[in-house]
Amino acid sequence: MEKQVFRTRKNYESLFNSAPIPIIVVHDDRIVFHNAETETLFGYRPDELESTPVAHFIHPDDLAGVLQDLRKQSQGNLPTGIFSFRVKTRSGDNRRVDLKSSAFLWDDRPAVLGFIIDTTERLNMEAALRQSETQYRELVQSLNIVIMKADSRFNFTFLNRFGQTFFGYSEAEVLGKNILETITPDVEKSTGRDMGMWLEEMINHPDKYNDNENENRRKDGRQVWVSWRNTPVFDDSGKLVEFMCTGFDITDRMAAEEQLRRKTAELNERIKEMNCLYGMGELVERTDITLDGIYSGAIDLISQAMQYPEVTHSRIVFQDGKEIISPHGELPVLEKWSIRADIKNQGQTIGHLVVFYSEERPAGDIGPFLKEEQQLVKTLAEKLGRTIESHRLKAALVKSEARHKIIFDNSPIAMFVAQDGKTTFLNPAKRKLNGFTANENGNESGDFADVVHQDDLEMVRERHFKRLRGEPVSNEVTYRIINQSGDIRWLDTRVIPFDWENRPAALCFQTDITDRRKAEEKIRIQQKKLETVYQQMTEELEQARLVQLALLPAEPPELPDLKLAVKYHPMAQIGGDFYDLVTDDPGSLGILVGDVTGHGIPAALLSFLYLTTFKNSRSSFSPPDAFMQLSNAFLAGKLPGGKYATMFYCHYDLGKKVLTYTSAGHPPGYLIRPGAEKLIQLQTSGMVVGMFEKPRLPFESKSIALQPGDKVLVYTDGMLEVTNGKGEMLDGEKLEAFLLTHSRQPVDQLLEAIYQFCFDFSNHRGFNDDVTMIALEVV
Amino acid sequence: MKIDLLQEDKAAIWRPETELEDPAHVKDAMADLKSSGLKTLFLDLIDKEWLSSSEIGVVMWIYKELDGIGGTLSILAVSPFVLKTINVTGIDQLLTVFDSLDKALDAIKG
Repeated sequence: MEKQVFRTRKNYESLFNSAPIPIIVVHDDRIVFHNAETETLFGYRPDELESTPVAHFIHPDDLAGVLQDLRKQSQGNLPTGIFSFRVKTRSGDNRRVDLKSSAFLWDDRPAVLGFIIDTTERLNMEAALRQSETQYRELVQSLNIVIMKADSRFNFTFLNRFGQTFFGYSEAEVLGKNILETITPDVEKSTGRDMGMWLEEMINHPDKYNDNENENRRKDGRQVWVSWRNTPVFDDSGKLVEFMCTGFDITDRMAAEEQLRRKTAELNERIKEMNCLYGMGELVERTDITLDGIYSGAIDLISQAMQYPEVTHSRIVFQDGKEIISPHGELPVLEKWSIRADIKNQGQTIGHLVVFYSEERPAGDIGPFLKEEQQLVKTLAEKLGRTIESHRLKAALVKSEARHKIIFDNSPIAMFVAQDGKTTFLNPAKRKLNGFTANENGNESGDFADVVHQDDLEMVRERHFKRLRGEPVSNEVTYRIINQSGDIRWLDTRVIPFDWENRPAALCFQTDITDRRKAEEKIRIQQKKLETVYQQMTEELEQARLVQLALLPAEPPELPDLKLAVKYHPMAQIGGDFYDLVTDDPGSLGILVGDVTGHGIPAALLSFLYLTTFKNSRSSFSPPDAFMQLSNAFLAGKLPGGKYATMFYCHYDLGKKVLTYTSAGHPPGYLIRPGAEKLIQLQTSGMVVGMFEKPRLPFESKSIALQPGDKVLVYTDGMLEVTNGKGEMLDGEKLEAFLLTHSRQPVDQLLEAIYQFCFDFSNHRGFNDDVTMIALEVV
Repeated sequence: MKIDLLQEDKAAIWRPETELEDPAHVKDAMADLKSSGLKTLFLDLIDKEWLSSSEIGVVMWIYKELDGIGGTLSILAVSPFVLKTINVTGIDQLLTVFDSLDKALDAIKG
């Protein structure tokens, strides 16, 4: 029995020691039995465990309660139960344990049998799990991410705090409700997508739509964009049971993207517009295209520049009825789908540019159009207006240039442009001037030195560059060139400063004055010769004058009882008038006055002839008419045709005081008798001398006795051949009246008075013929 | 033509203006007259206010030319200066002076 008991005891001991959990027996607050796991748990040796009060191993905070419960249980006051408390290990660690204990008798004494379960790790794990869950929940609630769970039909089962705040719903307001009733619109506004159908598609193919971005709706109706990550959850049978969804608010991003899209679209529109304007700019610069070509190009460009080129058409309509229409532009224009701008030229509207859509398009700023498009059309219309004006001006310029080129090419005046010391742009006349044919290039771009005479080159260059620098310099210059034939040509050059190809230049007009210069040189030489001849003639005339004066009496002779006065005034140095006073017979005086037809040297030469003839023919013994007859007989037929002389000759007998006179076609002499009311004309018949060999009218002599105080005046008609300012001639009656008035003046004064009277009558213009007067007075 | 024909081509008239001063013109006029075969010439000086000595010489030269071929020169003149010059120089002794063409033509008829 004892052996069996011992074996049983051993078996129990083996059983306890083999137990994987600590087992203790406590009696009277001491461990009276423990197994190996207990030693492992507490870290004490067996003797230390069994000799030490149990209180030593219990955490002070739990000690009282544990001892009380153990004592109660051992006394049977507590049923079997589990006590949780903390124990202290040898190393000082606190560990949490569950003590499942029950009362029993140990060596017949009340004791507690306890199975210790070290719950430290489990509790720690549970605490960690709780903390993790707390953190997770906190995270879920606090993240700025919408977290929602929904059943397989998208009925809400969870919505995190952020989601509630974001959508404006409380969790209670959404739980159990379908998302289509709450946060998802029936139709997505931006895309027109039917969201009911979209959710159905997700439900049917949950794995296809793990990520999606869609439009959502807040409780306040505001539209928001959310990027969703959807995780379908299946049960073990693969049946979809719920969706776990996380969502990010991408409203701002979508707005930014929308703005970016809009800006990009706008930018693309501006690019199209710029391309349009650029294209238009290129179009108008083309020289190989007509105005109609520009119109066509413009309407193509404007169509492409619109937002919807596929439905854009355009027309250019001019007031004169002309129309340029884009393909299909003949379609009817609906005002609400069109924009237009006037085309103006010189401020006047001449037509308009119309752009229109043939189909409806979304509303813009002006109907379906953007305000920028309206501005583009306006800009294009303005450019067309300017282009039309530019073409008109170009056409006018071309016409003008053509006209000027005709003038330039056909001008007989040499023209060229001088710039930078070179001649360029020569007209045919200039080429010809330089010795080339009109069609040869000549000195195009040639240096001045190529043609300008060496002696003038420095002067020409200096003036040219001064002018280009804007310094003052005369615009007219004469210089020489040497043409291709080596001939020196004199050129008058008139220079007009101007800009040629945006640089200062000189437009030069040249006239070949070589012939004129030669002529001027000839004239100068001729002038010199003429001056010499004139000098000679003057000298010769002076000699002739001296000869004539030598032939004429130097001074009137002084005779008793007689006063003589002579006034001789040839029109030129020498004249055709002649006179003589002959006193070769002491008792008589011969007075001759003659006037050869004409004036000047021929008349003077003839006067010499007549005087010589007179001197040779006269005889104091023959009557005056005989002398006239003799002179005429000698001269007639010897003189040039139409040449003759009138003569008056009188012979005064000093003793008898008788005057005998003969006139040969000569103005009558006057006898001025003091106190008489009338003058006595001394006139005889008789023709001019030297014209007729056999005069039909014979010369005649008459005599008249003179008294003291009588004055006789003989003269040539030069003093009467004067006219006054009215063109009236001085007639004999006026002269006779003057003589009567001045009859008492001494003869010398009388002649001067007569001369002045005639001179005054001519308004001091002088005489047209020689003037000769001789007066005698009987004293 | 310097000379105009008158009276059924029986006479000629010459109305010089300044030509009397130029011997060449006078010779042309006389050549015209001679080529016409006429010998009666009226020298119309009615518009002349006066005659210079050269013009008187020309008149006398014409007289001599016509006289040489048996012709007749008459003068038409009204200016007192012209008439006086004609008188003084004795030309009026050589030829007839009329104060109008009508009187001159009448003289031819007579």
